[in-house]
Amino acid sequence: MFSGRKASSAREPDDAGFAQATLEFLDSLYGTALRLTRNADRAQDLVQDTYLKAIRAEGRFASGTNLKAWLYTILHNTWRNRQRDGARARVEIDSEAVERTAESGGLDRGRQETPESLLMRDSLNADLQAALDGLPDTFREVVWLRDVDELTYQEIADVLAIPIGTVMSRLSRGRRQLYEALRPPSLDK
Amino acid sequence: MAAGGGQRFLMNCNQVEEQLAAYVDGTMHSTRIAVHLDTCAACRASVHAQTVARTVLKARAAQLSPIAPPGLRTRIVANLAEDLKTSRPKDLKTLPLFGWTGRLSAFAAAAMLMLTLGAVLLPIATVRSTAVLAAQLALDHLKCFTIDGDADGQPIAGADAEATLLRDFGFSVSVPASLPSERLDLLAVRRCLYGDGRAAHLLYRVNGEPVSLFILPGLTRPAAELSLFGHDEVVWTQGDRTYMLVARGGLVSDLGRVASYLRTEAK
Repeated sequence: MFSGRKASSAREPDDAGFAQATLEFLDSLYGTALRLTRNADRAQDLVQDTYLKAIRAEGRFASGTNLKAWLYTILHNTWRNRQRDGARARVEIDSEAVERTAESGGLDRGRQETPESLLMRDSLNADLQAALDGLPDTFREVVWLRDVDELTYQEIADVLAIPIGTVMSRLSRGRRQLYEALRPPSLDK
Repeated sequence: MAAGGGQRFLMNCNQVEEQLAAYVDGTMHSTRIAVHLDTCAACRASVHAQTVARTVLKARAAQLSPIAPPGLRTRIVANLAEDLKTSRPKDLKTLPLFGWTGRLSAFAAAAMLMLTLGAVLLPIATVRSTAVLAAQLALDHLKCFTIDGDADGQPIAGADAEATLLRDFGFSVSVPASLPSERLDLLAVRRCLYGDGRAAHLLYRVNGEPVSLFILPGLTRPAAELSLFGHDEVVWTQGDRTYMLVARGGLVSDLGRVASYLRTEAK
């Protein structure tokens, strides 16, 4: 069950320092878990599992690399495994179909929004949340990891276990779909 | 392809598309992309859309990011501490109940973990449920006994403990004394912090097992018996003080008797 570096020797109090460093990302991990599971209880469960695995695998963390990205990778792996193992019928994501759907929005139609016009909007937070919720999971994670968490493309590729090219195309399409969702529909004719 | 040499500088939309994301981020600067954008309204619209989406998302991310529930942090720390202990069961068996041996066992590492993280935990405990408070005190129980436990475990007098609490901490507390007939020894008193409050922590030994009584002034909690993190806890309130008795699980039958003795004596 436990195959970490320190399996055969007593763990040292360095573990505490490492644990504390990981806890700085608790909110980010919880937010990610919430986006993936869409359920507060399951999100908490996923985060707890992630922390246990992270501490046990501490020896495999390469110091100097991005701890947050490493934790995200564990969380996403855990989530993917759960989905795979779950009794619930797994919904296979047809990435190509999803990405074609994103293609269909006509960016040249309707009113152009600017950051300023959107940030003035009273309902922006709610609209943005709805727009994010409306994104396919595969797009939303890439957009969030890049634009909010500022992970590199390589880090995102590692977290999501997809090629860098896919990261870039999903990012591009995810952002465009987000923008489309924020434009008033009545003007999009 | 047909045009030969100069054609390689021209890109079509499909070729550009993947790179537009990086172009918007500012992580890629390419003359070829710039040239393409000059002549392609669709890709310019894509750059505009992506730029707006990225800017707005970054600006509002903080408001859209949920905060982890306080109880989650407590549970994670407790789980990690428990995991550190259970991963080294042999060390636990050989570890003296009291005393710092100088050799780092998993138990000590777990306590160290809780010590390090304690400051993070403390501010949240006050306003939370009895269960969360109990979890906090279970950790404090382990922490204080591991770090502060006296190897000799010589009992101290109740009156001395009361004087210490009054002199050092300004607490006026009746400290239940040792009770040899029940193999109950008063070992030490400390002050523990919880949230923005202070608690008196009385460290006892009952039948060789560490037992803690926490007295929390200005707090009333309903009477309860809890079992969590491998510890049993008895909670009661007298006046404006809450009392929480903590011991490792397995002392259940004794703990009730201990609780009634302490309840009578700690006025």
